[in-house]
Amino acid sequence: MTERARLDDLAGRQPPALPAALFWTRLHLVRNLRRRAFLLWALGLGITLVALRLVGAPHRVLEQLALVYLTPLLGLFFGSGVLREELEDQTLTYGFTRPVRRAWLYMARVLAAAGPALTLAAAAAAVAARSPGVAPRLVASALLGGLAYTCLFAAVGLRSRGSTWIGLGVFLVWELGVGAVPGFLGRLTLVTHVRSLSGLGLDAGVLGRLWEPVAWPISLAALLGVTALSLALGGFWAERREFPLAR
Amino acid sequence: MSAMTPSTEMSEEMSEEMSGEVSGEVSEETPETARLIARGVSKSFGPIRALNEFDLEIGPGVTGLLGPNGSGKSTLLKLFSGQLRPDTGTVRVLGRDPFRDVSVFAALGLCPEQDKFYEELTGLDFVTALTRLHGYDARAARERAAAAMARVGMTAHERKPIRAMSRGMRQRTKIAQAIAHDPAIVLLDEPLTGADPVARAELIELIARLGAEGRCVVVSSHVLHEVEAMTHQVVLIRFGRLRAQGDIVRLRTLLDDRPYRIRVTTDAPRPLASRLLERLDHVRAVSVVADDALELTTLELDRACFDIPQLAGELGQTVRGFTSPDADLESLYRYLIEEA
Repeated sequence: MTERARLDDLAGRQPPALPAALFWTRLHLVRNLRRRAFLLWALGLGITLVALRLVGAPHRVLEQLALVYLTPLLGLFFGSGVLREELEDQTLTYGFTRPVRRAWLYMARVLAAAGPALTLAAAAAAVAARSPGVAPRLVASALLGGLAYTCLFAAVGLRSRGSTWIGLGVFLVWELGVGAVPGFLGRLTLVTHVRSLSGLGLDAGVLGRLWEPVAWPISLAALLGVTALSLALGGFWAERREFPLAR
Repeated sequence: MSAMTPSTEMSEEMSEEMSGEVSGEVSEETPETARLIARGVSKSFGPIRALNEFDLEIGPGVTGLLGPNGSGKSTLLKLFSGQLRPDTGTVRVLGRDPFRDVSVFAALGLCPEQDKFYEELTGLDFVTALTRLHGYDARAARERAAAAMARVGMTAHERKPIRAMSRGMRQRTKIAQAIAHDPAIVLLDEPLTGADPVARAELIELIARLGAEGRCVVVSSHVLHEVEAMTHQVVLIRFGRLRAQGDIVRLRTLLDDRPYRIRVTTDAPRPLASRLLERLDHVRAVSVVADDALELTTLELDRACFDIPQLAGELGQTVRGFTSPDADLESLYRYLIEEA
């Protein structure tokens, strides 16, 4: 074998992507769970939920708070800055100069970012549940919803530096506003599917009386579909985008 | 050390500026030894053109990448390490496009300029984690990481959290992660920044050794004498253009309209100064700069090396010192980069 052929062979060696991505997920998941932001969220959330229970807030309010408000906001907070943080702290280079496709590393980072969001969302849903029998359904809904939101906002974060503001706009206008509209339009929002899966429905009022849950297989497919699509789009963009580090 | 570049050459523009006699073009044929190739590469950031129609081939051995701030050195390294893609032209690392084909990173290690890490990890854990992305299992990656840390002299500190490390230790750790997977190509962006003098000497030796092992090592640095200690092969960049590439001494000889200064230390410099002016037609000027030293300028370094001791001998003198401050990298840099 000539020297050139040896080098070509060496350069062509690409390790299996899945084990590398799983390792990268684990590494960053542990890092994320030890970060101050996660600990502050956990503390704040714990205090809020305990206080609301102590003052006798109805379970319905707590459940809505956990699933309709907290789950998307957690997804936004932990998802929107997935690669931006590594860009800002200038550590992105280390991962992106390895023989693993960037799409895999991006997905690994999104899943690692989803870890804290899902942990908090699931814990909030469990604490808010009106009975132990309802808790698993609420927790499952929070997990699926949280994953979809995290992946969606992570993909938005790859395309825009203002992803936090865009995400807040999406949450307030699209999810809370359009999500309360009965019929087809409302079904285009993630929150409708989270409500349907969890059995929460829409609170009282004219819209609440008109609101109808979506069949759970459709809601399940919608949440998983958004998750997969967002991951795929994010991976696609991560492969094609330049990530010049600030100096 | 093996030959590092296909030829010693100055850019066409440079040669016109300097003497109009020297020319050199990157050959269309890719030589067997070329590891890194840039052809017609331009890269802009908004209105700023960082690289302009840049052609370069780099082979095995250590190559110093030199140029002032903003000359395009880091952009070039980012293009070779797949962090950026060229606006026009092609970049190839071992024949592959590093932006599209990540498999090239199996054979490439990068030590980035920025002093950033996963701070909470220990040095060993950090290097191990990055080595695992090359497909090694936990044990193999740890062994490789430990070996790389040992190579950069960090064994004693490898279990220290990175946030508690000195700048020099961090720099060594950064180099360790670049070489832990035994790459054929190593790109080092300002690798000696922050290292203390002892560490610098050790790292210079390490870098020279990496080149001597047949790797293609590209070192970007501002510190000329350190580059000179690692290699005589340099690439000079200015305003995003290749100014010159090749062996320092050969490049210097190509600047034939620029005289060399030579400092001669001898017991009685005055008579020797007179004799030099009288007898040597290639000597342009002589001045006595100290009681025991004179400085002359000549266009022909080789002849001066031969003639001056001979003339001194005729006067019964001994030449005790003979140095040419213009034959080193610093003067080359001054002529090609600063004065241009």
